[in-house]
Amino acid sequence: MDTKGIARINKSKRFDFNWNKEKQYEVYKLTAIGVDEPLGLMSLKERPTDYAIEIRLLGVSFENIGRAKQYQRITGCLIALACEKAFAIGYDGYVCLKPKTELKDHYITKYGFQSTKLFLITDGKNSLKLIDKYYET
Amino acid sequence: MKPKTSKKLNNPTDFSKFSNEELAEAFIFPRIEPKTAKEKQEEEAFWQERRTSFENRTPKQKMYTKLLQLKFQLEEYIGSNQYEEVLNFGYFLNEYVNRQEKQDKELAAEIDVKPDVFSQYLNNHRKPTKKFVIRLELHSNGMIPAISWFKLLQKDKEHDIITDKAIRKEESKHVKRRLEFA
Repeated sequence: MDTKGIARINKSKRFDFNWNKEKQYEVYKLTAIGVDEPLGLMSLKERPTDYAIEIRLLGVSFENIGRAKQYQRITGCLIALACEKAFAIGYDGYVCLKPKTELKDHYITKYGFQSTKLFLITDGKNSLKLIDKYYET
Repeated sequence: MKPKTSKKLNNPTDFSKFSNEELAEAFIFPRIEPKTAKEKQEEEAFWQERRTSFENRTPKQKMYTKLLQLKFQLEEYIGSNQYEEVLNFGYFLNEYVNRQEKQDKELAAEIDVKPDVFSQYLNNHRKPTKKFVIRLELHSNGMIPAISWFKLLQKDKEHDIITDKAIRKEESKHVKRRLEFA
């Protein structure tokens, strides 16, 4: 997404957090056929010296939070997109994120992340599995 | 403990109303930068470990990474609306050979194709057959499916049919009458 698009979305108040802070990174939006507004946003930082892609921030639109959500699998699709990028760049699908401690176990159970002291990581087979599950083209 | 709503960030959502599972399904919260010297050191150690592990992969692992990279580059390209003349069938086939550090003849032999025919495919001088792309799929053990190679060929063909002026000139001799619209 370009900076104008990010600013527009930030103004719409359909997403939590200040996405303008992510303008210097790669921001991706997930849309659905026939739906104009994005369902989810994700900010990625490429770390070429570390051979990794880091998910800095990810959020779904307000109508897709909690039990009453309209669409399932938005977060999974966006994480799978990050994995796909990490393969295409040549990092063997290595994607990491720094989780909130209380949410860590859910990311591990739901998406198969491995836990290190600071980060959760996925690469290789698990990243391929996520692409296959959520993002098969 | 659940993340709290921050008025400063102007978040519309009251996070305390959702379970941790629901929050994990909706968010990856903003990254918190390391503050103390210890935290910074720990983070640097993490990245150092990552660099060491990636750089010390075996030659076989390196080749596997390169082939997976090719697979996703190819899929990204065929899934996009962009056309780039250099990214043709021959280019990706050449990459497939080079990333395995093989000679053209060696790969041709592995899939039972005559070296001169294989060379024509590499140089885009002959249109690859269905059998050929199936053999490539089998050779990669399914990593790069025949359909990806086929879609790549299709993309080249689509561009050709859109842009080929010479054939339009040639074929116009055979069109005796054309529809006329006001």
